[in-house]
Amino acid sequence: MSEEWIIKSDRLTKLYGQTAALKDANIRIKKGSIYGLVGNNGAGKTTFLKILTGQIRPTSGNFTIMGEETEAGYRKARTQTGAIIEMPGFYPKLTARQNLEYYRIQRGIPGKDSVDKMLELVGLSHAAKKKFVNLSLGMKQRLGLALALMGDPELLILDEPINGLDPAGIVEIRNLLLKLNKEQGVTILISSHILTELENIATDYGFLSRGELAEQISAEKLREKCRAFLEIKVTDAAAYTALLEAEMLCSNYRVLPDNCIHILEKVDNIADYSALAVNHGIGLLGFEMKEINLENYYMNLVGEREEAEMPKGEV
Amino acid sequence: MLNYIKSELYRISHSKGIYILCGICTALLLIMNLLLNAIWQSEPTFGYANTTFVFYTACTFINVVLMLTIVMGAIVFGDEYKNRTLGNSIAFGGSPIKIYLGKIIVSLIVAFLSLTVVLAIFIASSYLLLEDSGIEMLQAFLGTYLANSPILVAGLLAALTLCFLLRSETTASWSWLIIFEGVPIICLFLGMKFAFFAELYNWLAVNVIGSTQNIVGAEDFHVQWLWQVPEGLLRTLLVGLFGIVIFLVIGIVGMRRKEI
Repeated sequence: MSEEWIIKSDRLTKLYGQTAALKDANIRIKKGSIYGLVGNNGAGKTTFLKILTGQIRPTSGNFTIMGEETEAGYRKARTQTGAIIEMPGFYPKLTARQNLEYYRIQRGIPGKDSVDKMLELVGLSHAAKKKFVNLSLGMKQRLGLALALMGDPELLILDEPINGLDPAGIVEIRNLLLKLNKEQGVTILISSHILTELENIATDYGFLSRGELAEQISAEKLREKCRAFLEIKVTDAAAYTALLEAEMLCSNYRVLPDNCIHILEKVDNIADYSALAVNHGIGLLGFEMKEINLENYYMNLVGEREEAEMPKGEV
Repeated sequence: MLNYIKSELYRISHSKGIYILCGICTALLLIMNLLLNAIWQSEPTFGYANTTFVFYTACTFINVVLMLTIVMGAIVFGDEYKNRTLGNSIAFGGSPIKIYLGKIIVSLIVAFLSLTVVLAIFIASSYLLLEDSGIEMLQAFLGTYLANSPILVAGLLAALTLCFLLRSETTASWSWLIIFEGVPIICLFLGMKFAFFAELYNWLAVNVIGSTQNIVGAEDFHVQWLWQVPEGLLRTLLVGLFGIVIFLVIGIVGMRRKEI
C-alpha cells in the first residue's frame, strides 16, 4: 500500500453512451486529509464516489483504495469505509434504531450498544423509535452519518452530507468530522455544494468540471492563490482590457458579464487602474478590492476551462 | 454472506409484510374450514365437510401458491433500489453476487417457514373442524407440495432474479406473470397448430404443477396427480430443477454486470 495515498485514481473514466460523466480523472487523496470534492451538478462528483463505493464500474482507467486494486481488495477496503452517496438509503418502515441494527448485523460490528452510541453521537437518540419514513430530511441525513460512522471506519466518503441540516446541525456535523479527523485520523472525502462549508474543514480540494479534474490543490496553496483581487466595472470592458495589456502589461485578468473585470495579479497602486479608465474616456462604474473565496475561485477556474474549450470567435 | 443472511432475517422478522401474507393465507383456509363446518352442522348429510375434500382443494391451490412466490419475492427483496439500500450493502463491502445469493437463501428460509406454519394450522383446523375421511388425501396433499417444491423454488427464484435485474417490483411482477402464465397460453394456442409447442406446453411449470392424471367417480373419489406416476414425478422434478438452474444462472450473470 502506498504510504501517502488512501485513494488514487489514474485516468479514471466513466462513459454513459458517448457522454463522459468522468474523464481521465487522476485524483490523489492523502491519508488523514479532508478532501473537498467541488463541482457543479453533473461535474462527476457522485460518479467518482459511486465508482469508489462499487455502485458503478469505470469504463476505463484504474484506482486504488487503501492500496487495494482488485475487486476483492476493494471489497476488503470498503469494509473499513463509511459512506453516504446521494440521499441516505434506509428501509422506510423500520425505525431508526432497527435500520442501524440491520446494518450492524450485516457488517458484523460487535456490540448491540454501538447502535445507541451512534444515535447519540449524531443527536438522534430521541428519534430512535421513529420509523425512517417519518424522519425529517435533516434527521435522515444524521441517520446516514450514523451509519457511515458505525464500525470506526478509516475512510469516510460523504456525498453532500449536510443537505437538509439546519445551521446548528451543520456546525455540529462539521465539528464531529473535524474531531474524527484530528483525533482518530479518519480520512474524509466530502463533496458539497455548500462551498463555504468545505472551506471550513477541507485540507485539500479537487475541482471537477464537466467530468474532468480541473485542479487539485491543498488548502494551504489555495489560500495563497486566493489573495485579494481588484474588481473594476467599466462602460467598455473590451477597450479597457486592451489598455490593460498595452499600458499596464497586465495579462492575468478575467472579463465577466456586465463589463466587470477581475484583475487577478498583484496590484501595487490601485489608483493607476482607475486613472487608466478615466484618462482614456472609459466610464468607471465600480472599483473595489475583493477577496477570492472558494466559490469565486471555482467559478473562475470553471470559466477559464469553458473559455478554453470554446471555439475561436465564439463569444 | 452469513452476516447478510442474518441481517435480512432480522429485517424481515421486524417488518409486517410476511405476517400479513401468512395471516391472509391462514385466514382464508380457516374460513373455508369454518364455512364447511357450519354447513355440516346445519346439514349432516352434506358430503364435502371432510378432510378428503379440503385436502384435495388445497392441492389445487398450488397454482395460487406458485403465484404467491411473486409476493414472497417482493417481501424479501424489500424494494432495494427504491430505498437505495442495496447501494449501502455494496458500499460497505458486500459482493453483488453474494447479496443476490443471500437473498435467495433468505427467501427459501422464509418461504419454507411460512408455508410450514400456514399448512400446519390448516391441517390441524381441518381435523378439528371436519370429518376425518382417511389419511390417503393428506398424503397426496403433502406429496403434491413436496414433489412440486422445486417448481415453487424456481418461481421464487424467478421473482427475486427479476426484482434484482429489472429494479422495479411492479415490472418484475408483470414479467413473472408473462413468463409463467403468458408464455404457456401462447404455447397452448400455437400447440393447436404446431406439435413442438404442444409438447413444450406439457413441460411448462404452470401446466406441470398440480397436474392430475385422472379423476375417478364422484362417489369413489380418487384422483391421481402427475407426480404419483414415475414419469410424471421425473417431469415435475426436471421442470423445477431446470427453472432453478436457468434463473440462478441469469441472476448470477446479471448481477456480475449490474450497476446499482
